[in-house]
Amino acid sequence: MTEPLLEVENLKKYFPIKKGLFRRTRGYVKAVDDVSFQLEEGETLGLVGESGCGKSTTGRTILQLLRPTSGRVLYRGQDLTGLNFQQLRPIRREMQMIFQDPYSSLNSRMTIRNILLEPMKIHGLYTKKEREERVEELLELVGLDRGVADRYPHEFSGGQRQRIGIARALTFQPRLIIADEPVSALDVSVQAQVLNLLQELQETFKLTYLFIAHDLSVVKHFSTRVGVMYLGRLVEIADKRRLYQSPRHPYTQALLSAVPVPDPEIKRERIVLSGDVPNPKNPPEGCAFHTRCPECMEICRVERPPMIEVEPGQFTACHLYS
Amino acid sequence: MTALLEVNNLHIAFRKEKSFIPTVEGVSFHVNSRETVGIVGESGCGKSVTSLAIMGLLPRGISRIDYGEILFEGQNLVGLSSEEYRKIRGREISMIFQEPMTSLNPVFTIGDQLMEMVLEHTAQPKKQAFKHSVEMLEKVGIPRAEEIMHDYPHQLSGGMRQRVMIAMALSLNPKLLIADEPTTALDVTIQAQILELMQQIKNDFDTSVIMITHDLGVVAEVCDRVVVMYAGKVVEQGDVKAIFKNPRHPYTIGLLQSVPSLTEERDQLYSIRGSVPLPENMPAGCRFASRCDHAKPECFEHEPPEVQIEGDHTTSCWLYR
Ligand SMILES: Nc1ncnc2c1ncn2[C@@H]1O[C@H](COP(=O)(O)OP(=O)(O)OP(=O)(O)O)[C@@H](O)[C@H]1O
Ligand SMILES: Nc1ncnc2c1ncn2[C@@H]1O[C@H](COP(=O)(O)OP(=O)(O)OP(=O)(O)O)[C@@H](O)[C@H]1O
Ligand code: SF4
Ligand SMILES: [Mg+2]
Ligand SMILES: [Mg+2]
Repeated sequence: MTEPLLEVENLKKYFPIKKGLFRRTRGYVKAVDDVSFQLEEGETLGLVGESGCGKSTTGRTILQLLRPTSGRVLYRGQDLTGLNFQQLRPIRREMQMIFQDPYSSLNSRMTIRNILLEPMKIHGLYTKKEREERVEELLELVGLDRGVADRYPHEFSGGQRQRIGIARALTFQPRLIIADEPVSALDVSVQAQVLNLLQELQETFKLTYLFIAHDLSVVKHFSTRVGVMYLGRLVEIADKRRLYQSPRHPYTQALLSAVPVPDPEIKRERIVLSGDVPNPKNPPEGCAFHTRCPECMEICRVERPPMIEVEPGQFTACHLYS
Repeated sequence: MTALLEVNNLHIAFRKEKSFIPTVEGVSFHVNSRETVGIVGESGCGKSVTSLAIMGLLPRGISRIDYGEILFEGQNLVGLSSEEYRKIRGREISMIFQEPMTSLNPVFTIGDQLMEMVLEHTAQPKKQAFKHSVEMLEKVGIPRAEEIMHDYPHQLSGGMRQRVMIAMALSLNPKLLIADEPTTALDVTIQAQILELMQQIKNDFDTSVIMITHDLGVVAEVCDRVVVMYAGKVVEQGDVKAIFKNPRHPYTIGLLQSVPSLTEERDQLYSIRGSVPLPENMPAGCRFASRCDHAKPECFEHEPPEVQIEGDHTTSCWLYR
C-alpha cells in the first residue's frame, strides 16, 4: 500500500477559557479532542457534524493555521506540527483552504486580478508576465470570463465569488484542499454548479479533498469516505456507502434519520433526539453523546468508548460494539 | 370554500437611489384554512418581502406596494393604517423571522417579551399573562419554563430561541403563521425537533402556515401546497405531490434535479447554468429564458401567461400554451 497523503494522529486542540481580572485560565474548550484519520491521495473525505463540533478547527489545525495542543499531522510522511513558519511555506502551497463565506474571505477593496496575484507575490514566485498569465488561466479553470479580472468582489454573485475563492486556492497546483463548507451559503442551483466544478478539478488535477459540510446529502454525493464528529470527537468513519446504508453509531443513525427527504411520498421513521448539544466547555463524561443517546448504558456515563473496526473499513466509537 | 388568505397580483417596489425598482411583480397565491403552503425559490426572489407585505411590515420610505390586494378573511390589508394593522399582527397573523437573534430583543427577558405580546392584545391581568406565557413555553417543549422566563435571549441555544419565537408567535392563537426559514440556522437534529413541534402545534391549534424555505426536503415533509418563485414572480404552484412528481416549469424541474439525493447515486449533479438576472435589468420575456434549455424565440420577447395544468396546478411558461 502506498503511503497516505495525510495522516492525522491523536489530534487535540484545546482553547483556554480565560476569566476574571487576571485572565486566569478557567478550563478549556476541547474543540478537537483526540481525532485520528488518514487521507489517501485522490480521495474525498467528508467531515460532518453539528455546529461547534470542531470541524473547522480540525481543518485549521491540520493546515497549522492553528497550532495543535498535541498530536501529529503527517503530510507525505513529514510531521508538520514541529515545523516553523519558514519550513511550512513550501508545504502551504500544496495544501490550500476554501472557505464558506465567499463574501468575507475576499478582500472587498481588491480587484479579482489583485486577489489572484497576491499569493504569488507573497510566495515570490514567477515573473510578472507569468503571474498575469496564471491569473487568466485560473479564471478560465473555474469558468469565469477573463474580462472580469478588473472588477471587485461585490460585483459578483455568491456562486461566482466562490469560484474566485477556488481559483485562488488553485494558484500553486495544490495536492490537498480543505474545503470548509464551500457551498453552504449558496442556493441549491448554484451549489450544484460549484460542486460539479470541484469534482471536475479533482479529476483534472488529482486533488485530494477534506470536505467539511453539515448537509448530509451534499456530503454523500461528494465524498468517498465520511467521518462524523460530535463534540470534538470523531464518532464514526467509514466508506460512504457503508456509512449511509448501515450507520452503527447511534448519533450517526439519528443524524441520518433527521434529514428531510425531498419526496412527499416517503414518510420515514425518525429518531428525534431529545435535548441540545451539550456545551463544549463542559462536555459529558464518558461517551460525549450519552446525554442524548437512546441506547445509553451504564458504562457510557463513565468510560470513553474506543474507536473499533466494526466492519472492514468502518470504525465506530461506541460501547455497543466494544 | 373561501381562502383564509388571498394574495392577488401583488406588486412591490424598492427604492434604489432615485427610482423605485420592482422587486415583486404580480404575485398571486392563496392559503386555505388549516393548510401549510410552502414558498420556495432562489435567494432574492422576493419570499421575505412578500411575507413582510402580508404582515404590514415593509420598510417605510424605501419600499411601497404599487398594486394588488392581500385579502385576509375577505378584508383587504393593503392600505390599512398602522393602528388597524396592530390589531391583526400577532393576534390574527404572526410571523417567525429569518434571523431569530434580531427578532428577540437582547435587553429584555424572555418573559417580558412574551408577556408584552399578551398584554398588548388582551385585557388579562399581569399574573394571568405570566401563567399563559409559561404554558406556551411548556407547549413548545421548553423544560424549566418558569426559570427561562427570567433569562435573556443570549442565554439560550439556537434551538431554544427558535422555540421561544414559536411560542411567542402562537401565544395569541393566530389563524395564520408565517415561518420564514424557521430552521435554516439550526442543526439537523434540532431542525427535526422544531419541524415535529410545528406539525403538532398546527394540529392542536388549527393554524394555517406559510412555510418559507430553500430546503426542498422540508417542503416535501410539511407542506400541502407549494408556490415556486423566481425573480419576483410565481412560476409554478400546486399540490406538493404534483410539484415533486410532475413539475412543469423548467426552473422547478432544474431545482428538483439539482438537489443531491440521500437515496440515489449520481455521477454529476444536474445544474442550472447561469444566474438570476438582477432586479434593475430584468429581461423583457420570461425571466428564466437565459438559463432555460427549452427556451423558444417568444420566451425572450413576451412574458409567459399562467396556464392551468390540472386542478390548481398552474405554471407560467410558453411550453404549455
Ligand atoms: N479561536 C477560538 N477560541 C476559542 N474557542 C474557539 C475558537 N475557535 C473555535 N472555538 C470553539 O471550538 C468549538 C469548535 O468550533 P468549530 O468552529 O471548529 O466548529 P464547527 O464544527 O466548524 O462548527 P460550525 O458548523 O458552526 O462551523 C466551538 O465550541 C467553538 O466555540
Ligand atoms: N430593505 C431592503 N432594501 C432594498 N432592497 C431590498 C430590501 N429588502 C429586500 N430587498 C430586495 O428585494 C428583493 C427580494 O428580497 P427578499 O428578502 O424578499 O428575498 P428572499 O426571497 O427572501 O431571499 P432569501 O432566500 O435570500 O431570504 C431582493 O432583490 C432584495 O435586494
Ligand atoms: S457509547 Fe453509549 S451513549 Fe455513546 S453512542 Fe454508544 S450507546 Fe450511545
Ligand atoms: Mg465551521
Ligand atoms: Mg428571505
